[in-house]
Amino acid sequence: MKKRLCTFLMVFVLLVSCALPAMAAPAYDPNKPISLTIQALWEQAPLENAQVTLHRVADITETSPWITFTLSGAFKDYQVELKDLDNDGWKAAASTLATYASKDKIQPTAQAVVDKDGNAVFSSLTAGLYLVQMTPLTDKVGYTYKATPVLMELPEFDDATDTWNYTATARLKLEKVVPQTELTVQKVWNNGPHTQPKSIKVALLCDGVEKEVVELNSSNNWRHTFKNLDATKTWTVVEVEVPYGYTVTYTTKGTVVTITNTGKPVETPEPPTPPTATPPGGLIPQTGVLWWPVPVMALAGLILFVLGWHLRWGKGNDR
Amino acid sequence: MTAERMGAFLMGAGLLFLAGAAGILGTNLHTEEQAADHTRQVRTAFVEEILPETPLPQDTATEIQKVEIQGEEYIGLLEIPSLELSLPVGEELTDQALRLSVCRYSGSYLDDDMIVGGHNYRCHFGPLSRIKAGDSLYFTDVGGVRYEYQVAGVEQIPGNEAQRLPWDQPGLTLFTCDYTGRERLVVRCLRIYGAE
Repeated sequence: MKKRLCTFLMVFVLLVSCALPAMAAPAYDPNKPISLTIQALWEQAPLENAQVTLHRVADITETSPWITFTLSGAFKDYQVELKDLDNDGWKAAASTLATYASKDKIQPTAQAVVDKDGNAVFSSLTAGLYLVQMTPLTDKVGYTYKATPVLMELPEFDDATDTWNYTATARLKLEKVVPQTELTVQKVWNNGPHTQPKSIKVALLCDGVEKEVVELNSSNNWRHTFKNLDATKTWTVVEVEVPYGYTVTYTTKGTVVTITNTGKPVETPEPPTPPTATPPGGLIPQTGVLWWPVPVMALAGLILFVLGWHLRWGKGNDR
Repeated sequence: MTAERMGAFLMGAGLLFLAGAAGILGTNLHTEEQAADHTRQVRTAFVEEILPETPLPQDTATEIQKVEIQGEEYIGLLEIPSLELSLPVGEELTDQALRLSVCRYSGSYLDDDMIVGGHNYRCHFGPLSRIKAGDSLYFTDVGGVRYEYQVAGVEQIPGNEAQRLPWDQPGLTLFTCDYTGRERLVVRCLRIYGAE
């Protein structure tokens, strides 16, 4: 039920913030102060101390016959369409402008911190189209909350009453990201001319500080998984001592770090080792189970037996 | 009288032959059963304990990686879906190792010149006699990297002509004994790139 209500609210917020810009509206009062309250709640819990930013991205250039926006300020040169957009179009525009704001490090027009009730309150805003974003917030358990960037016109036009609302409220659409709590380290050997060591040691580092050392060897298949890691920290692994005569490379794929030790060529020239690609000449290993004697012996046995039976008990010998 | 004695002798000899045939049959079946058991266990261990959830990046290894399972060293898993075969591949072909698993005879999957031999047990390479050109084969190494092959053709070569085993194409060669044990059935498989 709670979820349904949330979904409803989100859709409502989206509708209000997205569908309206296409509506005809009376003129708004540019001198009236505008305030905006952004709610950042995960289910009912406030995301206290999360940082919410506003970027004023466009001016309201017309209100009749349609509300029309034109990119302005630091955003004015971006090739982002703000006309005739549907819900998905507005979402994409918000996400695109957010990417530009981050890439070009555009200073926010205003910022506020979410209070204990889950509200970030902005006041004394000028009219325009605003990009609302929240800096991802990681809680004590390690879950990270991210908000979908959204575009809002301020003041907000309420088509039910055909009036402008100068104290707008919107709730952020949030997503909870499950933290990475595992790290697997895997060893690969490219020995070259060297004899592979029986084992190696790998240290687990937490924000650069050694936390644990494990030994990798053939009995653990040269692999170890560190579990239950605090997701708010940065975890890395390092080979404690690179074996003599080897170089090392680290490759990361997902949560798996591969440490490859490659044997350096020996400097004194060695007599070339016979290539292993050519198999030993002569006989190919015997890979057969001896099946043929079974029918041969069985048949021979039967024939001998029948023959013997005839000689012993057959006609002309009826004793 | 002579015929009677001769008859008894022949019957005895016949029974001996029959017993011999039964003996060989029993031994063969027992050996096969042991191999099938071992293969099953190693395959389970390989899939459940060795294969990583995320495969390693393709080109980190330049040499064959091996793991030890039940006292033998293995380099990967060979799968032939058309024959319903899924076989752990031993690192080195010896008579002892061959009794339990199919084994790498020479070459490497990294260089596309690997040759794998196996007994013609029904649970090993026996079914190779039914393989057809175009059938798919897969080899998964211990890092989880999967290599795909396709059967290009099947040859029969005499058991004393080892020099004919290597192939000049990039891929994989499998061999096993034919019924007589004098010849080898050789399956040539071309590497299919980009499918991993």
